[in-house]
Amino acid sequence: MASRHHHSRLKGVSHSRPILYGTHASLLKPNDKRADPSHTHKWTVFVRPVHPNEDLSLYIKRVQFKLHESFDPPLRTCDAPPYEVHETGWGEFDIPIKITIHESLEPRGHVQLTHTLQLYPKENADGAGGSSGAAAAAAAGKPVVSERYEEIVFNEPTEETYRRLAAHPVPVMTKRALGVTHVFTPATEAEELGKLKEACEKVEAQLERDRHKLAEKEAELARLKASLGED
Amino acid sequence: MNGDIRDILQLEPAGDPSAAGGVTTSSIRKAARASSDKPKDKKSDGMARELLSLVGGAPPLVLVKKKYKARPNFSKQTKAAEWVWRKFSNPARTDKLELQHWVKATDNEDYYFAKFNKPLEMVRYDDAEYESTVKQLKYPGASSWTREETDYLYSLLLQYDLRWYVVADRYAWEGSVRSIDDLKERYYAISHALLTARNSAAPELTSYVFNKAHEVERKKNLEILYARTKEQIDEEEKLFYELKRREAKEERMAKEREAVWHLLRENEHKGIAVQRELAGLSASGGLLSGAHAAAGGHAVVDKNLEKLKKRKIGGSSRRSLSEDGGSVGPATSGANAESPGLTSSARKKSRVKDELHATPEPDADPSPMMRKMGAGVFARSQKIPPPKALNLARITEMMHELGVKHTAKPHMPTAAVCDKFVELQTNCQIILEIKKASDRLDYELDKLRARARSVERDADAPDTPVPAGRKRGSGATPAAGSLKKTRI
Repeated sequence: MASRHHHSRLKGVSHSRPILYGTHASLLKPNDKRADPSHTHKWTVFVRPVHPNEDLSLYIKRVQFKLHESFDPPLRTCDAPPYEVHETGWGEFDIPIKITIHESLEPRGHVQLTHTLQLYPKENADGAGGSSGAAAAAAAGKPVVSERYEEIVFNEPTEETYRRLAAHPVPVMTKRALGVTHVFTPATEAEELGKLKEACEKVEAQLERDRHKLAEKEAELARLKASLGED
Repeated sequence: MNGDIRDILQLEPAGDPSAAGGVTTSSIRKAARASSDKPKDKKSDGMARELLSLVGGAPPLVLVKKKYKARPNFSKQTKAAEWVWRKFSNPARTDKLELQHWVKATDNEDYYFAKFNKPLEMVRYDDAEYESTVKQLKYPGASSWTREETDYLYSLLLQYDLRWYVVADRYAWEGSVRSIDDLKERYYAISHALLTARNSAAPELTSYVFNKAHEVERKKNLEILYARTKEQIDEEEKLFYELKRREAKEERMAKEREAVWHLLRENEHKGIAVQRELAGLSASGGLLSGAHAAAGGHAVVDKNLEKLKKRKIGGSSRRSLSEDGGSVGPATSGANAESPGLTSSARKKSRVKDELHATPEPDADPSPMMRKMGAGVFARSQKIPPPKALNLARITEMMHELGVKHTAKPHMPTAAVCDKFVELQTNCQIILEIKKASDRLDYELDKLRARARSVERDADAPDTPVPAGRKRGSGATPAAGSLKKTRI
């Protein structure tokens, strides 16, 4: 009785946990160890908590990174934090990342992400990551950072799942949070939300105007048709 | 093969001493090659020599055409059929003339062509019937017919086997001019009346009625059709296609307009839902909403669970929740229930203290986007519905113009951001649809206005002669207009 009670789904409820995933890369120094003499960069692909104090292993069972075929082995599995792979190489490629959720939380639950390994700074670092001034950073020999924010959503979780997740709430991000090196803070979210809201308002106003215009035209069309004796 | 190469290189055929003497005219070369090739590969018909050499010389059996018909076998000869000169009588003749012809001896038929002589079966009247039935006929022209003229008509019909055009041509009754339709009307009316009188239950009678007016009209129309000039025919065709085109377009536009209105209505509903949502509680556990959350721990979570359960049992709607939650949200109201004495300032303080361990919002009501998803785990940004591929570029452009930097996906895909993002995308899409519909309406309006103007002009000057084939836009339909005109 009790177990069934715990397995019933909470309709209309969703719980989400933020994560950070992406790559860091920097140039190899002449004396650094490398697997192949042609390698030019050392890089890291990772899945990390947004807040440094959060423990992702609460719900993540395993993270798998599928590297390029030329790496041996191409499939790297991390069963415990840190979920990271350190490698050296010379080329950029897409890295599929599979995050497996604990069976007890969500049977067969997993999330598939893809991230492109970035070794060379982009001219226009607009789309991916928050690495502003990437070109300048590269010039200064700083690592090339390409990060994305994502939220793992537990939609309509079981009661048990919800209880367990909610018992370990997501720590609130602040500027004071220690060791935060990324840009995904509430301030960034607020800024984006504000921009979107502003855009939405503009679009809605436009929509209203367009709709009125359309209605007017419809009316005129009907009027003209009537006056011409058509139906 | 060898021969071919030598031919291409313009060399003499190998091993042919007669051509080796330096004679290089092509005819000699060809002759020489032909003579040297002949014994090697005898050409078979219907197969290129190159292909034959690929097959390996021996032509496959399936490809061999049958060249000869088998010779007729004359050895077992049959006797020739016997023909005889015989007398015959034609039953169609009344004069008993006897002629002779050749027939096969085995052919015992009397006269083969007799069966093609079909006597005409006419419904004839006798004196009594004429008085009782034919005289009583009431159709418009009936009174102009006398018994004698009717008899004359019948004799002609009999003579010419009901060939109406011949009868109408030969018809010459003093004092009356009858058209072919007059004659037909008379004959069929009489037949109908006679048959009805004899057997009123005959089922086919009702369906065979000659309608003279219809016939006349039909012929007139055909006449008109036939009398059209080439230009008129062309124009009519043009107008017809134009009509078809417009009809199709009208239909299409109506459909699209309907679709746009549907989209608008749907969006309106959604807009209301979203507003309700935002008034009720912050949508989900993004970082911002997390920051809103007040003090608490397991107890709060449990409280909220309880609340959710109650809500489920009660079956109350989302709206009722947002009402009882007010603008604070269920999390804080739960906290309130637990510690009623806590003032808002105290709560603020506690939030500052527990900043890193705050309770997440219980996400009692997920964002509109999430509500559509089934149960399970997924990445939020992957659930953003992609816009129509056709509109993608325009939408991206629009969003850029509106100052949105990340147009493909939000930079920080939290619940609130994703919802706004989807809303923006949807609205952009609707604007594009409306724009399309509006453009089409403009086009329609222009056309209608032009027509309205031309109608006004026509009304102002109704007596102005209209050049033939030029008048447009005043008829009910263009094609009908042109037909009417040609009839005048």
